[in-house]
Order: sequence, then structure tokens, then C-alpha cells
Amino acid sequence: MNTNIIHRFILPITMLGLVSAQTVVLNDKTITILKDEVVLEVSGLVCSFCATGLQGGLSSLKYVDGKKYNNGVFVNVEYQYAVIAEMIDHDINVDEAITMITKSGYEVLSVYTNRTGEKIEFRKFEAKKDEK
Amino acid sequence: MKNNAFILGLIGTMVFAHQPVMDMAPRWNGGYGFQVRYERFGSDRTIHEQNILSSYFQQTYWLEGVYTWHRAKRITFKLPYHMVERQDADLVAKDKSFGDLILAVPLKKYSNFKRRTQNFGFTPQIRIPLNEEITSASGYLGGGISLSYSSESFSFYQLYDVFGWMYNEKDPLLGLDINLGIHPYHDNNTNTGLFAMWDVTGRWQETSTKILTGPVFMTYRQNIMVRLDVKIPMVENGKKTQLSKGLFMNVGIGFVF
Repeated sequence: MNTNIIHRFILPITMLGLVSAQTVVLNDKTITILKDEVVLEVSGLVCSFCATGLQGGLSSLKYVDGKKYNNGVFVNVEYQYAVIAEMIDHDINVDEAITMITKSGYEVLSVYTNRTGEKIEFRKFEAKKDEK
Repeated sequence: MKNNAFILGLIGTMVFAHQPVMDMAPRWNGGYGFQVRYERFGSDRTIHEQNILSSYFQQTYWLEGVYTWHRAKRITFKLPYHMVERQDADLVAKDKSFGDLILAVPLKKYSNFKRRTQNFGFTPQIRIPLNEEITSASGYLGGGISLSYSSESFSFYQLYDVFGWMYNEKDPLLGLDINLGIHPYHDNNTNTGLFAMWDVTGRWQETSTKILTGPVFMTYRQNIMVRLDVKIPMVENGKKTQLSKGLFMNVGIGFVF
């Protein structure tokens, strides 16, 4: 009975997890990069109102899956990153997201995607000292 | 009595000098916000040198707004509605009126760090009387400058604000506000949290010195914040008439979009 459960449910789910979700470490926190999500590391993103502003802006991007998180956007102010949920088979415009975050007064340090579900791709940006 | 009113007015309307909303939001281009505050202070006695005089209580509703057209450039307004009650022996005087409109242009220079953000602020301000009549709380044309620094990490918040005001009808004012606090709770899923801070407020003018201190609590959920301040006078040194041991309370709700 137990072997059946392991073979029929746990193993497939674990294998699926290994294939479709992978992790990165951002500011000492391990984050899973899912296939239909974009993760952005944002410098200075530490206050609650920052989160509100970013959520409002990013959720208006095309192809954001508004059913997930808060209108498609999750902001973690403790570890300074944002997750944007994408609609299945559609990609958001990452450059547009970066511009929006910059206009909100923050800097994007890195962007992580997992388009194929098998390999994490990332872009790193050099931090500016002042953002004025 | 007029002199009395001047001094009280100076202390009364300038105790709370923070900018809406919470000195920090909205930080994004095209963002705007407003807040409504209720402020109450007063004492059942005022002092003039060694003499105890009348009682004075002032309640004020503030409507305040901010528009951020660039993340480092904002414009704000603060419009008060005062309700003043003064008693000298058996004589009771009550007054209700709109106070002076305060317009400001906070200019910020932000720096972002990996787990912290900070900004230096320069804020020119102007105070415009809406009524010709000079009362204890309104009727003064003035101009002010504020220099501020604030820093925030996920766990800590600090704000230092030094400012000065010049008026047409009363003594110039020098002020200092300090907020130091912690951010003990935040839920990323609902964007709900709490700040607990300690405030130190100093006001200096030719005729008096006043330092108040007390706790500040600020809670928020999404784009709504509620702030409560209670300040106790620690230093009172007046050459002219001023409040004595008047507790200051402030409660406000703000929204950002």
C-alpha cells in the first residue's frame, strides 16, 4: 500500500518538481523559480508602501496572471525581491517590468526566469549608488 | 490675551510637522495620497513666568494630500480646521475656523542599498492664511525650509528633520523631529504590518523652548495606513505665556494610490 502511494504520487510529484522548479539564493533566502514566473531582485525594496507601489505597477503589465498572489505579483520586503506570475504560454515583457521598477524608485539587481522549466536564466545589473 | 494667543498658536499649529503620508509615500512616479488627521492638545493651565493663567484646548482636523510626479519630487498640502476652547476664570471663548494652508515641495535624493534605502530631503514650504483675522491658531503668512534624512531597512526606521519658519506676525521658529523605530511585524502575502517608534519633538523660538517625546504606532494594510502619536512635554521654558504639561495626541488615516 505504502509502496503504491510512493510510486503513484510522491515520486512523480518529486520528479516533476525537480524538472519544472529550480532554486536560487537571494539575500540568504532560497527561492524557487517556477516555470511561469519571473523573479526580480530589487535593491532598496524594504518598506510596505514600496510593495504596494510595485504591486500596483507590475500587475498592470500584459500577460500577468492576476489570479495568483496579489493581482499576479508577490513582493517580499524582508528579502527584497518580487515575483510576477505569468499567464500560461505567455511571457511578460521583462524590460518593461524593469523600467516600471526603476520609475518606482528602486533598482533591479538581477532577474531570474525559467521559461523551459528546465533551466534558470538570469540577468545581472550593476547597482547604481544614487538613483535620483 | 493677544500675546497669549500668539504664543499658543505658534506651539499649537507647528507641533506636528511631518509630511503626508508617513513622510515616505508614495514614492513612485504619478503616485498620490491623502490623509485625514485628528490632533488634540491643551492643558487646564497655561503659565506666564511663575503665574498660572487660563486653560487652553485645541482640536484640529487636518486634510492632507501629496502628489509625486517624479519619485524624487513631490508637492503636498495641509489644510487644518481648528476648534479652540480657552477659559480665563469664568470667561470661556470658543472658536472654530479653517486655519492656514501649508504647501510644500519635498525634494528627495534616494540611495538604495542591498537591504536598506535612505534619502536626504530638502523641503521649501509656505504657509498661507485663508482668513484675514488673526486667531490663536491661524492668520500667519510664513515661509519655511526643512532638511531631513531618513533611513529604512526591513527591521528599523529612522527620520531626522530640522526645519525653520519665518512669519510676518510672530517670532521665527526652529524645529527638530526625530523618529526612531522598529518594524516588528510584516506579512508579505497581505502587505500588512506594524511600526513602533519613539518620537522626539523640539521647538525653539525667542520666547520659549519646548521638547516633547512619546511613542508612535503605525499600522498598515496594502495602501492604507493608520498612525497614532502621543507626546508628553519634557521641557517647557517660556519667557511668555505657554501651555503647561499639555499632552499632545494625534491619530490619522492615510491612503496611497
